[in-house]
Amino acid sequence: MINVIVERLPATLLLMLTSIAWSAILGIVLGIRASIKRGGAIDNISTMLATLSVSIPTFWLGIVLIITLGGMLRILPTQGMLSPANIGMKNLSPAIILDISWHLVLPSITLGMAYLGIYIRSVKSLLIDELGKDYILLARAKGLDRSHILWRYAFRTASPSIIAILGLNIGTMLAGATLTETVFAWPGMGRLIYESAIARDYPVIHGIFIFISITVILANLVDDMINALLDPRVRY
Amino acid sequence: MKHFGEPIQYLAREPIGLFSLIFTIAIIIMATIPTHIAPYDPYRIDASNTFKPPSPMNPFGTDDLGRDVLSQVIYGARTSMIIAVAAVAFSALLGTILGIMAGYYGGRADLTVSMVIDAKLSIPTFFLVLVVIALFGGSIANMIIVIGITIWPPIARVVRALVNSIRGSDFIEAARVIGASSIWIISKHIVPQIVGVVAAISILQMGSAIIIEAGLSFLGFGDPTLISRGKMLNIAQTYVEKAWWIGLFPGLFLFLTILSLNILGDRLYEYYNPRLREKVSYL
Repeated sequence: MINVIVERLPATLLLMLTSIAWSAILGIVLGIRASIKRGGAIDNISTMLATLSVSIPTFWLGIVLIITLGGMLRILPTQGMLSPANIGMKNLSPAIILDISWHLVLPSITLGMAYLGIYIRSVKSLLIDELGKDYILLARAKGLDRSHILWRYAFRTASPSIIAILGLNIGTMLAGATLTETVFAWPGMGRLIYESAIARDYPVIHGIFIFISITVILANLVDDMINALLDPRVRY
Repeated sequence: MKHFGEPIQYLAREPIGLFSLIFTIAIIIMATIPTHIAPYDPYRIDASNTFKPPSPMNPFGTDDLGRDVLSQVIYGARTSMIIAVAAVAFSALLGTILGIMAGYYGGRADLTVSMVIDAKLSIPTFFLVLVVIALFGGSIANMIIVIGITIWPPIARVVRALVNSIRGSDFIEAARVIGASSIWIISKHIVPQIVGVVAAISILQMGSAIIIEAGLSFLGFGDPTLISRGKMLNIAQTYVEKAWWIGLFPGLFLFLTILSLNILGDRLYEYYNPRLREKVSYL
């Protein structure tokens, strides 16, 4: 039973890490830009992007991407993880890796889009809180460079909380991938949740339940450990 | 509590807010009287009219059984709204009561409620709902109960923090000095102050409730007797190469409904938390 879950894990992890990577980087960059110049163009665009991102149903976004990029323009593959010709190949040759990354594009755009808004919003509000504090005023009064204040003072202080948000979303992402993986026939754990729920395969559902809960708890633990490393006030 | 008109005016002041308000009202009208708006019976199967692309006769086209997509979209509003309103009413009540208990009484009540919230946070909402619905069946009542039970923590958290800060105010102390009971203080002093924020978060939660229901129906776990936009997208996925309109329009309406609710909720939250707008930045 463990095997059933474990063999689905690599596909899900690949999808999750790609999605987290691009959405977190973009979210942090936009969040910072938005908090520096409030009411500016980037702030307005990223606020709008964040609202769109939390409102768009992932599976519909997936279908729209399939219709446009996959169906009408025929640029990107829309189903599965490998091209039919490569299915069954076990060794990772460069051609296979390229094939997988090509198949990864649409699913990771879809899954990452759901989290982009969360990252933009939280980074922005965390930084705005930091920028209103007295030590920033003092740093300005001392005549320090603005970008120095931003990166070495404000962003550094906010970074433990930003990492905490990344960690908290790992669990939701494991399960949130269900819809994305179903739309794109991605052979990961999210699809396993769907398949076992349809088949009423209770042992597998229980297994996934325990697996996800343990992952969330572990992610929180790692989070706390990183927090202790980054924040000298935290001691366990 | 300010009167009802002022928050509405605040919402309608910007074009985006006004658009969301109008769209939400339109969806509510669709949900209440779909029979008068929909051009066709959404259940009517017409074997000679399958996969018709959008045309003046069927503005959004027809699906695999020849049913009119526009009519289904209009009837779908009803399912979305019933689930959203009922589940959120349930979760708002639960979240407010638990949040007040935790925030007002503190101590053991606070510990218990916080522990339940933390436990809930370790299980992803959609996964939990999916498993429960897969086990017990996706009737509309089941969906309302399960969604209601799973989305209350954010409300309880905010209420708890608010009540905690109100509890320390001088006027609460003064009320206690003149002999007011806890029930009196909660109902006359605390509840009126948190109603606005609870309403704002509830509107945001309606968006998530609609997404959850659509997701369930999309996976095929919804109520089979109801017309749901999620279920239409499920059909659309099968015919995605052949008939794009079955997928595009129901999802677009779903998206716009959730978007308007989110914008309204955000604006309302901002209205009741003026401090959010006035944060200083020294950089």
